[in-house]
Amino acid sequence: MAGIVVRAAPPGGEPGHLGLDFASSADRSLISGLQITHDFSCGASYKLGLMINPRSKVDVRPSISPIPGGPLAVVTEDVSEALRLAPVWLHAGWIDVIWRFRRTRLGPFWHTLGIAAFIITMGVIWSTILHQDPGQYFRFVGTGIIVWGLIASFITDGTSIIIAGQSTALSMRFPYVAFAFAHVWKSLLLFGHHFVLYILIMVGTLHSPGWTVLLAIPGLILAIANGVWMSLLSGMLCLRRRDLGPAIASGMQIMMFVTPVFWPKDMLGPNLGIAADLNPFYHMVRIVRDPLLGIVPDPVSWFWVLGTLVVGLLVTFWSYGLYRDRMAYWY
Amino acid sequence: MARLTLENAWVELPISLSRSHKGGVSRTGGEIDVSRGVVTALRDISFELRDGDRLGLMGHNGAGKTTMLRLLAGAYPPTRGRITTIGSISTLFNATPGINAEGTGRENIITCGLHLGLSRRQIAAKMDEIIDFAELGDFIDLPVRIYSAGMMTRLGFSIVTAVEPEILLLDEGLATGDAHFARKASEKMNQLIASSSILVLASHSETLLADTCTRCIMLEHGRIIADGGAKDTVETYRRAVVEAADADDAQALERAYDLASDMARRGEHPPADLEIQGLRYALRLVPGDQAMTMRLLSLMHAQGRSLRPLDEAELLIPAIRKNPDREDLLDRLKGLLDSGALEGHEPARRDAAAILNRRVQQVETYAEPAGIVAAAQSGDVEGMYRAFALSQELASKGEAVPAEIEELGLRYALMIDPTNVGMLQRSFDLRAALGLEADLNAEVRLITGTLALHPGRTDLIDRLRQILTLGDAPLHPETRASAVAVLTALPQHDDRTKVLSPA
Repeated sequence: MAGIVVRAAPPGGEPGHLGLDFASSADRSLISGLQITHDFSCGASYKLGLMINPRSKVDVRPSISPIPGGPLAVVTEDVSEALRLAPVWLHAGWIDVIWRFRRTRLGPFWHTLGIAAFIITMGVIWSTILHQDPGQYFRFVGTGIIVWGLIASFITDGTSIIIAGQSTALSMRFPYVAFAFAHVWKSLLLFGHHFVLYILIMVGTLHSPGWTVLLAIPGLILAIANGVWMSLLSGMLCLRRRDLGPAIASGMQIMMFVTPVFWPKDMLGPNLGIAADLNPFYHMVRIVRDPLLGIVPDPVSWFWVLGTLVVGLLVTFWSYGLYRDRMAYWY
Repeated sequence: MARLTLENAWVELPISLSRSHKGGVSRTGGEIDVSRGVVTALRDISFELRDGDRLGLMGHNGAGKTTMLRLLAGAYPPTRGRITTIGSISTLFNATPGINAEGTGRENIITCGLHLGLSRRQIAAKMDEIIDFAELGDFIDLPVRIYSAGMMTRLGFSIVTAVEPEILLLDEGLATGDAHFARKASEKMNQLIASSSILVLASHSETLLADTCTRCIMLEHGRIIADGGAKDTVETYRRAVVEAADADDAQALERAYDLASDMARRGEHPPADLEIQGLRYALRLVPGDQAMTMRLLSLMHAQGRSLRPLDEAELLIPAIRKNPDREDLLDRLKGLLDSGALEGHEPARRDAAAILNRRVQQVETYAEPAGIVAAAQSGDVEGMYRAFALSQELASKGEAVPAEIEELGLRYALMIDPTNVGMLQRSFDLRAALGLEADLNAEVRLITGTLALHPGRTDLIDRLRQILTLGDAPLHPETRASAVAVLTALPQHDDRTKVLSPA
């Protein structure tokens, strides 16, 4: 395949000129640039530098559509393609945050400000209604809402990710998983903005969660992993059935009140407590929120979230593998 | 080593239809299969493209061109069959991948470039080149949402071609830009083609396809109906258009017009059958245009084809309405009507009969001066014109013009030049001599006209005042207004003006 020949004088060319011969255009595509430097100290000698195109190896591999093999092959192919496209979705998720808030003064902090107002109102009113210690309740509600916001955004904002990617998905072969990656990354960026609020609450109420706070990191990673399948599934469902978007939005609103975010789970009492125990969102919130508050979460929650991840990934990727090649037709 | 291989590829789009839908084929679009709930947008497509191939896609709207491009781009996985691609692909369809209206041109170059497979370093290296090529100036740092369609095309084209893809797919990409940019774009495309990549171009412009492509595929209802050299396929396409236009397909008629005028603009003679269809379309826009009607009739004659009587009548009727004196056209129409070929084609037969009846009446009416006088006195403009023409004729022969005819002819002349004082005076005198009631409007115009020349004629001023006191009824509002204007413009020192305005 190495068909590149460097000639000192091409046929028909003037003597003293350098020429490159290519056996095929694939060889030509290997070269992304050519540098010829004239070395004055050595008289008429030239240094020839070829820049080899790093992507060309990948391009030569044939891409077959529909992807041969079963659902597993489809998923493997698309996930690896999406991982290869990491620069694309990392950039897309980041610039999306910038673009979305471009014409505002506070930018993404508008979100943060909204949540702050919510937390203050809830903190004052509900700590009175529920007869809770204000400082402790502020921390509880504040952290809870920030964490809930991240988890809920996977689903509620995930509804539109594939629909919004229409111009991309209909003009090139693009792995839809990458839309989910971009979305999770974007949610994480917004979460980062909201995290400022958490720090403010902790400082304001003069409370240190201690080293337990580090447990929040594996919790967050698990929640993010869950976010991938949650946003992908919600995006796929809403692409197929457009009615689901509003339905999911209201469903998640109800979910916010059902899940112990505004109130401690103990208040449900022994009879209803099981409702929270069976709620995967509760466990997902818990493994991030509790360490942030300095509490070690019940290991049961970890298992719950791990279980949700496995089941969710299986269901989502299985249906992704089945329908991936139909999705472009759903636009 | 770029390659694109399609093996028996189908594209079937899912649809939800009401149960009553019958399915089948319409003139545009693919086949609708109700039982399976799909539209077959592309049916059993197989071909292979290799280095240096420049493929043109043609076909009417909905024939499957855009679907084909999406299939080739890998966006639509074939529902049956398969497609194998080797080489990097770049596409320019109606939207550039990853483009966002909120971002500036510069930011979108980065996003789109990443989507198209460039690395950040490559994008940074090419940024200036892309911006230069797009010629967007300071707009490059403004949000894309304020761009015009042409600016979007410039940006999109500059990005997708900067990728230096091995396979480039374009959808009418050059149509939106202005002439200057289109020229630059085609130069850039030639460069890309020269670097031995594959090009697929979907377009309605056969000129563009014939100039750019080495091979053309013509699609209809999602099938390849012609495949071959650009010129041959263009020819086939032209034949298909002519055929469809001959069957009165509105879109095909317009397309035929475009094709014919395209060729004419390039200085080529469109083939007669194409020109006929183009003329038919043009005559729908400008019914009755004499030159086009005659050209069409002579082309039809040269082709040895006879027009259907109905079509011919539909050509003749508007033409005669525009030029009522064309005896040849009238004779032809009479022949058609007399042959009975128009029986049963109601509006056309009635119109033709009405035109011919009027013709007969006119011939009878205006044969004698008495008929002309009678017609003109009843207010018939044609009659007045005849009277005018007759008095001119008599005067030119040095014969005396009967006062009656001269007066009627003057009515016509005054319609054309209502303020001619000489004619007004003559008409006024003639009416007095004939014992006709004076036309107050004409008199007012006569007086105002004369006063403009001789402002001192107090007798005329008195008469004008007198007419104005007669009340509104006999005077045209405009005439009245002009009379009042003349009176108020008179010199104020004249004490007679106080008669009308005692205050």
